[in-house]
Amino acid sequence: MLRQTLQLVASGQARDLRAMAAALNVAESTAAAVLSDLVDLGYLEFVAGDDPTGLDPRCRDCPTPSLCGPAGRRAWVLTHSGRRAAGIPAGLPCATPPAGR
Amino acid sequence: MADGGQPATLLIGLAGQPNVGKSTVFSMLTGLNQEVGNWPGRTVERREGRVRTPTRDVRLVDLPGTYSLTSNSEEERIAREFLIEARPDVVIVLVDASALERSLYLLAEILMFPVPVVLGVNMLDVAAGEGIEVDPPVLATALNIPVVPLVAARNEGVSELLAEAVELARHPSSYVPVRPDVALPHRDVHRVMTDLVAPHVPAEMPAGWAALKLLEGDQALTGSLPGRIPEPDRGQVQAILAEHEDAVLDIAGGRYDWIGRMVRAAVRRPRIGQIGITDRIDRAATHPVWGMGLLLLALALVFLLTFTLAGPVQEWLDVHVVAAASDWLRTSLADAPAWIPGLLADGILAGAGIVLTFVPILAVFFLALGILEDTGYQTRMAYVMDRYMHRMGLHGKSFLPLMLGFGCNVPAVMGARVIESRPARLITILITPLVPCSARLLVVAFLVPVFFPDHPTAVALALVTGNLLVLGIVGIALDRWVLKSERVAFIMEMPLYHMPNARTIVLYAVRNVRSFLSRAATLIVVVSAVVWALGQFPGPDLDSSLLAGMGRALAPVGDLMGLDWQLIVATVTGLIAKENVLATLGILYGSAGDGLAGAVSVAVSPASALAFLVVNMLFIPCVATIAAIRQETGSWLWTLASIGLMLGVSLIGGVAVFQIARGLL
Repeated sequence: MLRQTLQLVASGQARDLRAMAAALNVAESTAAAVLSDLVDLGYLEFVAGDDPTGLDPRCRDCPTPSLCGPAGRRAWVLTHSGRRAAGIPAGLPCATPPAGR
Repeated sequence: MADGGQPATLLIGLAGQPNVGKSTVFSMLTGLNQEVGNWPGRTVERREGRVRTPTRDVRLVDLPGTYSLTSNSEEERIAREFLIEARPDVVIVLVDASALERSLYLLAEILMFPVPVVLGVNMLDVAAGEGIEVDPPVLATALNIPVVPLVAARNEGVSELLAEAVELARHPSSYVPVRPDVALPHRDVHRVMTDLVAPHVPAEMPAGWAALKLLEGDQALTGSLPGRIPEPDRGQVQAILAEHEDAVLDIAGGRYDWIGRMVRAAVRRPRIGQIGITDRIDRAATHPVWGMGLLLLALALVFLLTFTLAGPVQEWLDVHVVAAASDWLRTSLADAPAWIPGLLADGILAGAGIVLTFVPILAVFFLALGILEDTGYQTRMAYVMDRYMHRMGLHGKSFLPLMLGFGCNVPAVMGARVIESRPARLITILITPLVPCSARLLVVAFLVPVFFPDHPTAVALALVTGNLLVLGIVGIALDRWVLKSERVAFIMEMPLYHMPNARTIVLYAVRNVRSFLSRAATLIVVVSAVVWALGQFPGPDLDSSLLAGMGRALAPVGDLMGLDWQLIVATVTGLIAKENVLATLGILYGSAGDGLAGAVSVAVSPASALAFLVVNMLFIPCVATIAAIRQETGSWLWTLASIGLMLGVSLIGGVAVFQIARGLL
């Protein structure tokens, strides 16, 4: 299931967690657990949509700071190991996602 | 010895992941007969209790809560050492019925030990409350181990759990569980590894488990076990480990496959209506074609609402408050030195005052954006935009910074630091200023109805669409011919759609409007005063001022786009902050009489107005963004390249739009 998850991410066939859970035929919580394990194993990297107002003082001057942190923006990306395990040779593009879902 | 030659006291371990109710079960079974200390040589608490059952006495050991049995934490090492070295008669594994798939992972690991296991499925009441139905008898059949349903918090099934464990200890030979297997690509490799390590592992350690952990890259075993294996087997073991560094995917993946089978057999999870609705909406909202259409429609609605509801209020404030206040100030201060009413009425009030009339537009704009966010749609906008960005080699890590760019370009540029690939990072940084930030959208929301009162929504939408097209064209060009970036695959989490909460949306709007006003009260007032001063000196009027001189120096460029020196100066003051464009227009065109709208409608032709809006959508970003670009690229060359790119794109856009529009409008 872990390898299949990496391949689904790499191919763009499942771009959101619910589509991933459906493709793996598991609950969304399990798909999230699989992603979490893949992060621990170094195949995926968690990229959070953190509120940048905590990162740099210049953001305090932004007229609309709260626009930067909308909810539900957790995302994961394939690491170098993830790309290798998913069978993507370095430098080659990932497949374009198919039309529809 | 008790009957059957078995030891009088059974040793039973109680295992489970954190928060599955293990402590409750332990306390209910042992009562006051508990001993609390530390595990030998460890700082982790050890709890052991004695329980008397009708047939046997039991030593019950509460194992630390762990998610798995790797050697990553002290708790995990303690739990697995207990299983290997203490050799309990039975292990009770407790799982959470409401999160069964996650809980079963630990069971999958414990089943690899030659220790009989009883499974306690706790929190059935919580699961039922969430609409999850767990069928313990079916689970028992699928696992081929005893399964006891319980609600530990109500002391239901707890004594039955212990009774089942004691019964299993009486007949351990009947224990033949269905264990997880390694996924096919590494199943044979596991067998070979097991054969290699079997003669050399400690007697109490199962060879199959040791082989699994070696292939998983377990730190403790990979550090100690190969040293116990003599050559040539050691060389073979190390060669296998080097060749199969991704074996962990098939080992852990095999456990998840096994969990999936068990859950499909024993759990019924009714489809929640909200999820069904979300899926149905998402078929359109995330579709490559319809999704983009919906995105543009959503933006159009935001602008329509803003113009329809707030436009008239803004006009009223402009004419009846700012212009009236300006006239009143001049009259009231008629006897004061001329520069005082000039600074207050023509400088600060005309600049910052115009921006203050903006409040109704801001409020409606942020309320509309708040609705998009609170319903969960805003994340879909990012998703749809990612498909678009896919075409220009910007995926995953790039889309997040660019999505931030719709709020403000500064964090977007800083967010690009998560991209390892330098070409992809540079592309992201270079094109980020082309993402229409909220300040630029606000300028559009303010100026479009001023210049085009008959069709504000259509013009605003065309500007945003055109901006996104330019973003795509520049991104594709940079990707294909300059930087040749590497794609990044990603997956994201999208919230379910839900009814927006009025309080959340109002708070969102209030927070953003307040933030904007505090800025207007400081930076914009200062810039307004400076622009007014530059427009007064050396005198005697605006046309002969320093400001006019600076603007006229750029007139040859402005002529190509139909921009007079006032519009050029307004654009340049936007370098400090985009909102200053409005303040400067207020000062240069005046806010008295019919207000700003009346003044610019006379002074600026439609073709020039359109070119001005296009230039401002694409122009060099504010200084804060430029500073961020310098910091993130670590190079003045790339910073200048970014400025040059934006300048070039905005000039080309402005000239093209003016020349085309002049013939049409």
